[in-house]
Amino acid sequence: MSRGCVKKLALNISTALLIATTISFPFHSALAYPAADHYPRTMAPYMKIVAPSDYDTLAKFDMVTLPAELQIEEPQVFPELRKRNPKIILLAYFPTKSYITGWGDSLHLAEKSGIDASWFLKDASGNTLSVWPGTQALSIASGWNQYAPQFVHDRILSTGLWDGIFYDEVSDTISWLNNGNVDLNRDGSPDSATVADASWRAGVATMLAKARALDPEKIFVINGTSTPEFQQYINGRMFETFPSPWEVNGDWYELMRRYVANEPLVHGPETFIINANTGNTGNQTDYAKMRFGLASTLMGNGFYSFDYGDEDHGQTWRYDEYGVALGAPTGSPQLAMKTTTQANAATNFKFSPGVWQRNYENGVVFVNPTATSQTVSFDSEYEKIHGSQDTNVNDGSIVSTVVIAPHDGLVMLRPLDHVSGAPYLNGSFVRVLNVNGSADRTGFFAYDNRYKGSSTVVSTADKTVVADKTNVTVYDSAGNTLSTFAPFGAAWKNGMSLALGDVNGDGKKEIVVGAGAGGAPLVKIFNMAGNLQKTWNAYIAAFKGGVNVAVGNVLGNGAQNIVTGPGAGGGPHVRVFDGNGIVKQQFFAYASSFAGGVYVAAGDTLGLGRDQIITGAGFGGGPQIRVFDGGAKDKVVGSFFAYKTTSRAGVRVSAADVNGNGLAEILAESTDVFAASAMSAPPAEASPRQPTADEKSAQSQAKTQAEASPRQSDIPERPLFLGMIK
Amino acid sequence: MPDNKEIQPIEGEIVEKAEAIGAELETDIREAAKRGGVFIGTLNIMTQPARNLITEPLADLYKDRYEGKYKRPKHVFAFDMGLIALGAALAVVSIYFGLIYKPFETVQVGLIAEPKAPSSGGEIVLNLTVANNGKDPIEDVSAALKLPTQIKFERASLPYDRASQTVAFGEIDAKSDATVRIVGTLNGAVGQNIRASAIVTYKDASENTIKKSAAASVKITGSSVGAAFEMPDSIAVGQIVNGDIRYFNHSNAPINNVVIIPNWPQNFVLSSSSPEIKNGMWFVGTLAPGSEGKIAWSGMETAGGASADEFIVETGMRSGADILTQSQSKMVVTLIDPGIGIAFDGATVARLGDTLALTATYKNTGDHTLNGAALTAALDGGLSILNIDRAALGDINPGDTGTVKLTVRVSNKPPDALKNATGVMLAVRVSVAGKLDNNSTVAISSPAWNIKIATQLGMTAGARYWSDTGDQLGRGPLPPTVGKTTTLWIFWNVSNTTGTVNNVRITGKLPANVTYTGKAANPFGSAPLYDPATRIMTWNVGDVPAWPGVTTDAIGAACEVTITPTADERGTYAPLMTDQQVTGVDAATGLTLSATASDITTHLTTDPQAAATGTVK
Repeated sequence: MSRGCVKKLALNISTALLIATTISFPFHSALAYPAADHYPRTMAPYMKIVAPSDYDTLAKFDMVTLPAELQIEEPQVFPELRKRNPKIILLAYFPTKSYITGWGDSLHLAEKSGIDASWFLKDASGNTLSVWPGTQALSIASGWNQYAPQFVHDRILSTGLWDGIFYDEVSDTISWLNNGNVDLNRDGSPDSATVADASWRAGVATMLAKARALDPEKIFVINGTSTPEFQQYINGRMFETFPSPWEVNGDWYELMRRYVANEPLVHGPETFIINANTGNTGNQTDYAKMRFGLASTLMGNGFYSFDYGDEDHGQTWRYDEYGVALGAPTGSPQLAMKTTTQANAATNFKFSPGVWQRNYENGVVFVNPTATSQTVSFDSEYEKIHGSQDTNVNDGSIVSTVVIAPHDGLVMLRPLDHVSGAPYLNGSFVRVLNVNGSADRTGFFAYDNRYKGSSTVVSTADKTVVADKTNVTVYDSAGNTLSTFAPFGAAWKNGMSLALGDVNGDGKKEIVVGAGAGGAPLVKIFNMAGNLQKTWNAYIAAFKGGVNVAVGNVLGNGAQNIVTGPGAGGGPHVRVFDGNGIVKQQFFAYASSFAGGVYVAAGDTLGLGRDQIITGAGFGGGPQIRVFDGGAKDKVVGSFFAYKTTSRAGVRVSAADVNGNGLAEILAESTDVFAASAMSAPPAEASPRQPTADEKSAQSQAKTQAEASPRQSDIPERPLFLGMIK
Repeated sequence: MPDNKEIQPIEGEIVEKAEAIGAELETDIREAAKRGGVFIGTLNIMTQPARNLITEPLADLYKDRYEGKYKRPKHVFAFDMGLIALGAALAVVSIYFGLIYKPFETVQVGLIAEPKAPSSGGEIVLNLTVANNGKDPIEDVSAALKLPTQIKFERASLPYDRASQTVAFGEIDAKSDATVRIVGTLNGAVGQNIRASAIVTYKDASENTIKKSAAASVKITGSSVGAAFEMPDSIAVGQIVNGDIRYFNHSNAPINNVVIIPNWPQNFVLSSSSPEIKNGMWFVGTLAPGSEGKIAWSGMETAGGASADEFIVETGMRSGADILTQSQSKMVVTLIDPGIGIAFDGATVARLGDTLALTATYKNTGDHTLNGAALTAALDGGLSILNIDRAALGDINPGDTGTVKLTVRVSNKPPDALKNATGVMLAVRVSVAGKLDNNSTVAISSPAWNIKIATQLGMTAGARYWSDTGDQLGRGPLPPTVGKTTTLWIFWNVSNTTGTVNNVRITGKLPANVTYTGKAANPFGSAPLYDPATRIMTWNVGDVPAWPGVTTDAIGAACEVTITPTADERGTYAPLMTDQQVTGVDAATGLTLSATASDITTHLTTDPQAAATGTVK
């Protein structure tokens, strides 16, 4: 078979595969992009084969750059990632200055077949130049500036699999290459730097203009120049190895100016990337370096990446800071501590020396680009992340003063002080835990002094529903009473359990109540006006311990189910009902011999798209919480003690996404904090003493002395983003 | 007789004189019936009543139903009457043979129990006899007995299968009989009726298998087991009486599971016995035949009002959960009432730790002298005697009266036995002992003087920077620093023991440099209130049930305060809250309760994580 036939066959096969892929998977036409309040935004340059074991981790990033040939060789990657993260941005890697000679896939072979020999960049002696080992340089000042964007459009973007292109090796000059011996016009003599650079800049502009003209809605990110004339064609650029030492000598202040100043200039949506890395050391636990880059990124609206280095972009390292939900920024970056003569905000996007901060809806970010530790005080208080990595910094403490190490950053959150979206016992102490039993946030007293203590309160966006010993009252957001009714009669004084949910599928939340101790295990469903919709006994009518209720999509079928647990005196018998009172599932949450009853809640703690059932032992039991994945037939996915194991007051439970990270946190409510026993010497398993502010300051100062600026010899000569699959 | 040819009435025509002719005929028939010969006449006279009862209705019947309706009405009438008579005769015969007549039986079975009035514990004999009165032998004769549980099989005169309770007779010749004698031991309740039965099976000459049954019932009229009191024939109220109960088995067989059940007089208190009494009875077990035993006891009659006391003892046999009564024995003793009464006066409610003054007044309204009387006190756990002003009372003669003052102390905490109990009432009793008329020693006890003990209301208070699970509650520098503000949470906890306390309130005062931030948490009612003018923080708790935190949720509240230490507080534990007090009204006694708590300072003793960082810098 002739070479031409082989090529034609390969082309036909790859085209057929491409068509099959396009038909098999939904054509991705809508532009994926994180929500406006989703910060921090993370990015992973992943220039390697994507194994199925990588899907879950990769999908956690907001943006991923992948080798373009994956569209042929691993087309299943696209639906797998988008299924896990519908808003993920997938960019195809495309070097603008090089052709990698090792490429053997049909896509790049097809690309090569269209490259004219005259487009390769040569020196005055006619030698083909290279900007990176294993590559051949191409002249952007040639017909390549037309061919490249056309090829990208025809063969990559038209598949519908990609959200855009990562154009690597974009520079506005070329005279730095080969000590200036470049011959763009092929006249046999080196071009002057001025002429060469001008031609080069014009060529880049031409290429980007055509790219934008061909695909107005796609995302184009270039690496890495902030040349003003390019901005109108691109969505952003990457700052590789930030603070990039080859760009303004790594001057943080100037780089930050270039970062935030260009954001308003680019084609929307703005998509800047700051890539910090270990400098090819692989020290992924250099948390300070990671924080510095992240905090710098959060001074703007860009995406952040921290990986190995320019020799290997292919890690999916995750950090504690990535999982926080800062919310939308509430302003521009500001100097955290200023003198009277210093400008507060970044005037004309210029960052003055000092610690900078940016406020977000749910927290604040500080970055210290100086060479010394800085102490910052603020009027509000902030809660440090409850981290598992750098616990010296992210220790969960609530502070109004911090000491930030040099070239370090800090992400903190506003402390929680109320519960929204889930029922809580008014006046109780609430611990905010994840499914592993670790504290996600610092606990707090959930108390609304408008309502009596021991009432059950649940607040939504527009209503507050309060259940006291006798009545349920619905208030609007202004505190006006919309309705009040006595679910179990005016003479009932034993309280009730309360939950909200759309249990009948009418699009409106209903009020679900369970009788308190002393009553039959009646579950009643009312609308917001107090009209009874349904009622039934959750357990045998002769049982007089009452019943606890919760609402959630625990069976994973989209419908809101009612979850019940007996009150005091009952066994830990959990039941799941549909809106008509039909039992769909039941199990014992604890040993069947336990007769203290069980509290129940429901929430998606795992991000599975369905709610898990969360149980807390009733009074007389230890404060043990268990998490059951009802969709997986009562699989225990979490079991832990929320308070001291010696307590015998049980633990009330609730679930809500209180920190905005998309997962429901487990709210462990207790009134036992008021017990005298809680004021005694702690048992052996108590948490270690938290260091004082002075001790933390001393620690970070010691750390400062150990740090050093990067040595000049470590700075590579124009390192590039290597885009070959490993 | 008029010529009475049948006249077919012409339809529609009225037969003239028909009525007159009929009337004549009727008269003639009656007259003819009356006439007759002497014998007939006598017979007629003799049978006249019957005939009046029978013939007249028959005549009416004939006239109504037959005459003129048949071709030969008399024949038909006679035939019908004959049928009716035959049917009646058959019915009579059937009734006779079915209910009255007993034909002669070929085989007869009988079961007889002896003696007719057996005693429990004794022997009983059942004689089962099968008599073959027929002319042919009967074969394969066997009997299946059903003995009541009260009869324990001992032996039989024929081979007897104990498991199936069957005995085989074999063949019984014609005109012969066979008897099996079954001997057993009877154990049942006196007065109980018992019944034994047997089913005899045999084959007759035609190889037919026939069953016949027999039964015997007897009433248990006595028992071989008995018991009786042995004690003085007169006792005095307050006298410690020592006595015995003697029990026996007069039968020739052992009797198992014997119990002795005493029935004491109403106010008689058993103080001890040997063996020890359990659940109101002594379990003696097996009594060998002819054996005897004795139970020693000691007790006291505590109240007078009667001239005699009746002591009753029953014996029984335990059968599973039942007691089969065997015998009952009574002893009546003369009761001497010394006539000395004791009455109390004094406090009926108290708080823990209180000292109470009680007065015991004694009076001799009887006819006897109590010589060398002395007063002693008996108190429930939790009470103690501090002082008795006059324990030696000398001789109390008839008519004498006197008072004794007692000082009683209530302990500071409820007895351990009352842990988790609700409602505490402790009693004081005194006893006056002496020789009655210089004779027997008697001790007269007073009724219980009940004192309601108020619950123990308390509070604990402390401040925290961290919760016990490591959640940060406080803010700012720790240790607190002069001129800088530290935020802490103050916790109040109400403690309570045995009863409900109403209107509980907690107060405390903030120093001048401590400020309430307005944040509070209270899962039990309203939030604490702060009066900036007085700097008093008040928490109206409401009603507090018994044992909060033990059987129900703990009751507490918390509020957030800030402190900015002053220079003169440097090096000290700065106060955060002072003058803390809890008050309330005990629901059971109405007494006002109060307790205080130590001042709260920056020495966070209730917060182990922060306890070492309280000294103001």
